[in-house]
Amino acid sequence: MLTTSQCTHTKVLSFFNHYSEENKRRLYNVLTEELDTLLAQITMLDSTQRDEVAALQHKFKGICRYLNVENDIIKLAKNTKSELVANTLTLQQLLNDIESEI
Amino acid sequence: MKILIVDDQAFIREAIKSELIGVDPLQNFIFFEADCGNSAIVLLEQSTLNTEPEFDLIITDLKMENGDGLAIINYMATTKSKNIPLVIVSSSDQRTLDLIGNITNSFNLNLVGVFQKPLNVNEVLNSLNNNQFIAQEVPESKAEQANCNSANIASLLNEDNLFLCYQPKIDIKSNKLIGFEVLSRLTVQGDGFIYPDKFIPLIEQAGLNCQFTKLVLDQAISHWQLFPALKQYGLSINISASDLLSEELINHLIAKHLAASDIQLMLELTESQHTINQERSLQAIAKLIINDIPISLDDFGKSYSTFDRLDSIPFDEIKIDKDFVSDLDSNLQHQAIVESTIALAKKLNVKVVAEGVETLGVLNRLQLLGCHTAQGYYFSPPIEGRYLMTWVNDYNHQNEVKNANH
Amino acid sequence: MTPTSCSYSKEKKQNVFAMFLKHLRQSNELSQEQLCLYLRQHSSLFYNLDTITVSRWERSVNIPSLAKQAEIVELYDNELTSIYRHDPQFLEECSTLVSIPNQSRFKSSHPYYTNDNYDIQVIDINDDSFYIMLKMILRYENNPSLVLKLPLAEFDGLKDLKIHVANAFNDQIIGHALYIETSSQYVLELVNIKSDLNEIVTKNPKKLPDTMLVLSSAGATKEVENSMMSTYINRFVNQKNLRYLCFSVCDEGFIKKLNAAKLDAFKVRTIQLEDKTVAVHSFLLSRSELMANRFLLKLAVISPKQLVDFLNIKGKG
Repeated sequence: MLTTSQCTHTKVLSFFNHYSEENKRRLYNVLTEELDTLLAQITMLDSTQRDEVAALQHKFKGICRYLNVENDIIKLAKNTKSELVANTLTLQQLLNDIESEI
Repeated sequence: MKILIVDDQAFIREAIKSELIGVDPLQNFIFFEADCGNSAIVLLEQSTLNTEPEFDLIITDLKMENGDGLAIINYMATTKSKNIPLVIVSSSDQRTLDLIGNITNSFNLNLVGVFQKPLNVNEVLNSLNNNQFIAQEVPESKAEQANCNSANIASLLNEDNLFLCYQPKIDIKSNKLIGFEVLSRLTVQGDGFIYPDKFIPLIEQAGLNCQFTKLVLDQAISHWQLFPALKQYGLSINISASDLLSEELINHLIAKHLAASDIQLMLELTESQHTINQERSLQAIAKLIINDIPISLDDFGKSYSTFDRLDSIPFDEIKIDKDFVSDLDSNLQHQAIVESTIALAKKLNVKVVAEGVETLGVLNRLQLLGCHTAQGYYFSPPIEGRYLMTWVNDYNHQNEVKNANH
Repeated sequence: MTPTSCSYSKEKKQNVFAMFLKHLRQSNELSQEQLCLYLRQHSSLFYNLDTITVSRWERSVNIPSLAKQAEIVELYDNELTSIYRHDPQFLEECSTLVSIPNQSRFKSSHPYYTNDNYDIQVIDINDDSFYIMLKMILRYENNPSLVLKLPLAEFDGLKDLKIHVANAFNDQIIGHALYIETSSQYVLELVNIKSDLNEIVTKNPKKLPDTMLVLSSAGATKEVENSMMSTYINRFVNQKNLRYLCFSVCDEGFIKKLNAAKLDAFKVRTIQLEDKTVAVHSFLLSRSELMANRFLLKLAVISPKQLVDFLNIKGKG
């Protein structure tokens, strides 16, 4: 049965599978690095720094759009720090899951 | 092709690069990257100082620190870089994108488009291609495709690769079939159909337009002669502004028409605005009309900004562009344009053809507005020659049945 | 098709089309001149054809485009797919498109589901899983114009929708396709966002459907994507009443795939979904256009049985 997470899993996987072998690996590495940096930046913020959180949220949204999983991962419209941390971790976990398949 | 990609996210830049390579693997891309507006501006400055060619394309994000997309726009507007094709990408909402588009246009930059993320690279390359031949300075390295480009267009252009399709024109009131427009395709090996928007600009640039028009004319006329039942229907062939400038072609058209005078030939003139302002073109049109070849003005609404000189040519028909027709029943601006075009046509006593009719709603609205003729997928997509007679017979039969039931 | 006894040059392999021409002439007892004349008299594409060109075709020196081959083949009551499906070299190319690739040497022997065997099921309204599958696919595609009203009263109207799924071990779904056979006019209404999925499925076309409308198509790898595509494209070419194949999708990955196969959308409609703009790309192909495209022709030639053979070549457990 196709669960939501399988759906997202397949989408992210097929995003990478459109590129050549070496390109795939490179893109994957760049993405994981970027998510690490993003997570670090978010955790350093205070949850009251609304504007800064929004700026990082914007970046995260851009990444999700490219992977075509925006609607699957970003469930609530709230721009809170904790929401963003949770979403970033979810995406990182997903990437971890598919690493062996890249 | 030298491309500058500006985005503060490394992943986005990588993705765009990979896409471009994926879409056009044979193109030699040289990528430059910047992670903010300021670095991009430095790169632009450097490139104008060097004797190397400029960038062929700039793709930039809007929202960045240390100089955002607007900073780049501002820089380009005041320097030699203003002609470089520019693509703006963003995750902002549509209204913001529209606003940015308007601002950029007011600076007179060479804006290819404002797109949302994720960027559809194919759309960008296509838009770039289409803008090429209208662009002020044509850069040396273009966004060209492997199978059809300026290098091989001359060898591709022959009767072996030319494949014609025919799209029906229907009288709205009576539903009767009155003619066909000839639409050309190039078929190369196993690449399916190559459409005119890809190869016509190349043909024009290479100066092969007359040769092309003759090939089209020959194949189309021979089809009408092979299937004489088609002679009761008009045959419309597209000609361009540069075709009109060739006296040899005009004479050839007239001679061909004379030799096949039982065929109702009509010529559809594209880029009409530019054309009818030129004396030589007007003379050519006049000569054709005198020799009983009626003229139709194509892409009406897109080609015209004023109605100058429309009264100086006794043309037969106006065709309203599909962009205005296809959403006519839901877009008030487009409805207004179509309405006024039909009114104009009535005053000038010429027929009006609406192109791009795809739905019943649009057809009904056109009927209310008093449009004479319709063409579009609603009736049929362009039909390959070998299916034409069958289609005609089926259509006429269906019509008879419909009329009998009324 | 009985193979003709012909000697071919050692340098050039005999081209499928060249062999077809030879066989055609022999079985109809036509000379090259007569064939040339026949083509000239029956098709405007060949109004200027000369015998030398026909000779070149037969010797595989020059082969006309697939589109022109189709014209000739159909003049003799045949179809391009029938000619090509018997050619071993062509079938080899087809196999490459869909066969499960070998594992790369760098990776471990851990069985990735994408490179495992899978099978393909056709699901329609009579299957228990139909409704859930449909919801999941629509969710995947995320096309705002494909909204379905839930009440079961609509259930019956969905009988024309077909779903194909690729199942790997543990019931993992690694590919899907959603399509419907309907009339071209209804398809155009949908493509112009003048109607939605509810309307399309509840209308009963008075005439035989002439268009296959594909609403979603995906696979975890390129090969799975290709094999999903082959299932409905093969069906399309075998249903002679279907004249047009239409894709109306917003899955960026699939759109890119179609673009890479040299197909361009004839219409792009944008729809606002909260603050995001979704672009629905619609592609419309006639039968001839499909067969003139080598990539699609390969997919069209692969029958369901052949697909099973290709997928089992690896023979992994």
